[in-house]
Amino acid sequence: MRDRFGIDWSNIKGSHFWARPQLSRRLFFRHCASAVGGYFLMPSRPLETVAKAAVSPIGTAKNVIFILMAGGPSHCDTFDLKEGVWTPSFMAPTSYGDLRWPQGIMPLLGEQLDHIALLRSTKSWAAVHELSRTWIQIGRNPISGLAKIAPHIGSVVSLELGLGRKATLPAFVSLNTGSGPDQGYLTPDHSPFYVNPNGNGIGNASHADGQGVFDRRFNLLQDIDAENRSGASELGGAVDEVASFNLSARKLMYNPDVNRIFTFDAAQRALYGTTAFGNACITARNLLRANLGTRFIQITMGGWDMHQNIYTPNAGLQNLTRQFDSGLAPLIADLKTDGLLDETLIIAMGEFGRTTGSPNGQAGRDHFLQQAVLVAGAKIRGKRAIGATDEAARATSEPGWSAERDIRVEDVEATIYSALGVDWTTVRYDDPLGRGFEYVPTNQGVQYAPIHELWS
Amino acid sequence: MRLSRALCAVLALAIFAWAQEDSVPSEQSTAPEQGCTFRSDPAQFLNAQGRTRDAVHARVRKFAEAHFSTVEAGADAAPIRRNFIDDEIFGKLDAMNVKPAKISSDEEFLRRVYLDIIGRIPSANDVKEFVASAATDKRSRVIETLITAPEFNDKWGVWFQDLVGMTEIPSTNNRRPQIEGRNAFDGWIREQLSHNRPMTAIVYDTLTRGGNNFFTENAPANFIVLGSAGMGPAQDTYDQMLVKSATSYLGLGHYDCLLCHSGRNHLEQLTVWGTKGTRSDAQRMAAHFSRVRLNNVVPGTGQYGHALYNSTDVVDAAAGTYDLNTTFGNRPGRTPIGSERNLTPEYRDGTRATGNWRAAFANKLINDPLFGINFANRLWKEFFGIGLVDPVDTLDPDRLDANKPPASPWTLQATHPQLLIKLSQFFVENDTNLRELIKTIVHSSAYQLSSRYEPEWKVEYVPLFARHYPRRMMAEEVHDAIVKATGVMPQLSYQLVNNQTIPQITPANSRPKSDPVAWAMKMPDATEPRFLNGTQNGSVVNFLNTFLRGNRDTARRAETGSILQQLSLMNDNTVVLPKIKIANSPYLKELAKITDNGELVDDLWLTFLSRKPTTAERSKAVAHFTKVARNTAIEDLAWVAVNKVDFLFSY
Repeated sequence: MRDRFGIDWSNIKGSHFWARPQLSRRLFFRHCASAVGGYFLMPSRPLETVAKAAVSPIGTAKNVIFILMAGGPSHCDTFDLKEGVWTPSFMAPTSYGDLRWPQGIMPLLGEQLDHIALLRSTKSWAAVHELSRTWIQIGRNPISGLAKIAPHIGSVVSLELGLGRKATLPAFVSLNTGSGPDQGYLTPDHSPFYVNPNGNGIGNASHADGQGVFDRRFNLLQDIDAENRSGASELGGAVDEVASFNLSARKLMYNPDVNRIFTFDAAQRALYGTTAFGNACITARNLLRANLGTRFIQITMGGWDMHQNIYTPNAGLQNLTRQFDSGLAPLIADLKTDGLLDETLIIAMGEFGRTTGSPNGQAGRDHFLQQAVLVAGAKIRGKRAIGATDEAARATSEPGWSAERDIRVEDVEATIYSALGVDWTTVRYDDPLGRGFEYVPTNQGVQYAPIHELWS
Repeated sequence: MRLSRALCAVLALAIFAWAQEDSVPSEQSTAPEQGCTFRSDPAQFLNAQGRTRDAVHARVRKFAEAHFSTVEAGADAAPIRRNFIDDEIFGKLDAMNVKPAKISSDEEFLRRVYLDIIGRIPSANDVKEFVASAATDKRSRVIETLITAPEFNDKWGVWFQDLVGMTEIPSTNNRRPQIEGRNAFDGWIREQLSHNRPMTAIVYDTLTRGGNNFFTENAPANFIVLGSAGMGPAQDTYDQMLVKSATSYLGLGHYDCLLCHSGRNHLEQLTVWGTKGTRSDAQRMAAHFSRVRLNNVVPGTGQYGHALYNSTDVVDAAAGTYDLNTTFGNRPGRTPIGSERNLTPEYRDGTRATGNWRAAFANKLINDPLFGINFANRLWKEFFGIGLVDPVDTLDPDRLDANKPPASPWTLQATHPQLLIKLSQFFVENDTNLRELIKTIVHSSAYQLSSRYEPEWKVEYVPLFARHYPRRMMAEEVHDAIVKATGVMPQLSYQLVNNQTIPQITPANSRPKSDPVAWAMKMPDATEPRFLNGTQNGSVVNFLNTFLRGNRDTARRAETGSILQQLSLMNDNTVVLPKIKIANSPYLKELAKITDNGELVDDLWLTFLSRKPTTAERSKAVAHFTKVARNTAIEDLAWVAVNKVDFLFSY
């Protein structure tokens, strides 16, 4: 069976652990031949042209909300639920159509399953936190040569869809994240804009000595520094970067439009669970409502690294899923009401999954490559799973998509680009290494691909 | 162009496929390797150098506004040629008939040389005394003072740790230095610098030392720990050790390419030397590390709370080779070359290793001609803003010797080939002493040129170094400048042990922490200071990271601006606002005693900006005293000084 790239995956040896899929030599020569015969006028490598020929992005989304469940959530207790004697009764596994779902720990999301699809044939490359967490944010191996200059996926989205400094807010806003991969070799306009939202505005966007004092100081600064900021220099009127960023920063301060996004009261917070994650979800909703230039929102939610006592009531998993459920479910519902859900792709995933079956000796679960991903919005067809795993959620039993292999984070990355209408096979030639920067990397000639089955 | 690139690619693949058919009776490697997206495009490569120049040019343009009529450049006469650097730089300028900028003014020079050598701004008194001095050798004297100042060890310790990427938990590693290892390394490198040890000795230690990485006496072994590659066979780790060493110490970044594939059909547009290189040449280099073992130290019971939990024993095995037998990992499978299945070490000049392989490698490396060239080039970049070869980790050994220029269309790699060689020779002849090299650089008139340029500036002048290029202060320098100017000393501490070596119940505020210091340049890592005034507090870390100090891992130190930086300077309620209050600042308290408002403004400008105000700045600042209460005016003006464009720059 050939997929739309003309590749017959049945000859490709499985992707055992982090080993790469490998093309048989015969298959490889067939590609060379087809390239020489049919595609030599195309502007890049033959294998890439094979992929390029099929590029037609979905384009339903304008925005992305990427929820990084740092630590690695237990897939077999959440998005790929497998029940066993260990399953505590409070998880209350329930069927929603064909989907089994832990209704007891995520009841509100259960009500939103119409909008949600679960990628169950997903597999991480590495069971090391920092390595894998970086991997899913830059969409490539952090040890590969290109990783040194690679931007965060959000920075690429900023480059593609951002309005630059014309916008009030940066295109890439990262909530509760603090630090991590940045804009790589792209310009600083595309760097993640870090905010830890608490309902009291953006940090450093108000002046502790009061607005009156700030205005006086700011005006004095503009006055005294005028000769440095006028743009009149012996080199012509170059835009001064500092002055320009300074004015952008000023736009964020004491700005009612911005305040509406980052300021919300206890009653609002309560609707989203009164947690840091809930606050981030409110902020994400407000950012999209305000439409002031933000296109890619990352929300980081840590604590999923449950090596011990995963099933302790009101602690461990139950504690974390309650926060997750009470933040994400109202976000989906509110976006739906606003009409924004159809143009917003929501993805929630960790850096990997956790061991399955009976819990370990400390009643917890350890790092594991098999994982599952929650996808919502952007007109995907919900209430279903793509791909399936074996009895114990240890390995993919059915890929469930055209590539006929495990879904990798590079495929999720391609899905994000495709949903946004971005050609995921784009190669830029402005990188400092002079070797070409592919939005989505290739793997021994294999182009990773968007999971368009989400929309079918 | 598009057509030719396509043809190149097709031909390359066809040749590649043909070679595969003949020589490798295996189905292992098939198509181009993972992650490597390089394709041959001369135009793109040639653009790379142009892009670097454009970037510097843009920076010069952006900074142009930050020039001040009071900071007049010095004498109009042609700069004095002080040493071989000047002979090369001005010789080329003369030959190209391009006029150099004037020599920097005293104020401009002093701020620059303070920031460049010790990472701190000068005090108002420093500036006043220096400007007032009539001594003809006053610049030499201040250089001598700075080069022996203790702050030198902090700035260059941070520089060295940036160079090797020393951090507690690098994301690509299985074995990590951890807090204990990185602290040991941090203390060690600062001590080496304070003892003025040669770079060869420092580097030799990082390549050869072993033992448990938490112990201070084994501190340099943490460099080897950084070589640990996550999620792959041991050969990936040997490869990463070579890449780290060759990139940091030799400027040979292309081993990262060669360890996946030979240079042919990949590196033609990038490096003459690399194009000739084969994967097995590179693997034989990496084989020097094939007896290094990074053993996980997990004390038998009660893991948490044990002092050595998470530590690594760096040991040398008695046997072992670089085996060609891998089918997974971060690089393409390694398969036998004919009958050869186990590679033994061979340096890039063909020397086979004897004795301890790591030590053999270290001996070859510190005597490699590229060792001196690499450090000379990297140091040049620190002081001139752009390397003689840039990017600095792309040295091409076949394009460096001015007496043996490469075949057309290649040109010599350095903008000033003789200068790079002479700098390297000087460095080697002076016992690879960092201070001697720095002194020679900053003594040159070329370094002391003004960043102001009177005739029309052109982008073509950038590689000629006809003026000084301004740079943004490092994150640590920004923080420390505010501390130094205001005299408000924060109590910054870093953590002493990782969270698994202390009982988990230990409250965050009670974790073992270093004695407090006021200076960001004393922090061992971009995760610090975790503690402020004795309690856990991330606000200084946030401030420093906002100014892009990088994390020595996934984010490089960067010299760019951002909205968040501006928000921080205007409103940060830990690092900025409390420090400019008269009630808190010893300096502002003293300043308020000056009765003449004009003199007061002069002093404030000298303290924060290392220069006197311009006439316009002074009159506007003095006028502010008529509008608000005196102390309010002083605090407002201190805030303005921190937020002025030029505060952020060394120029």
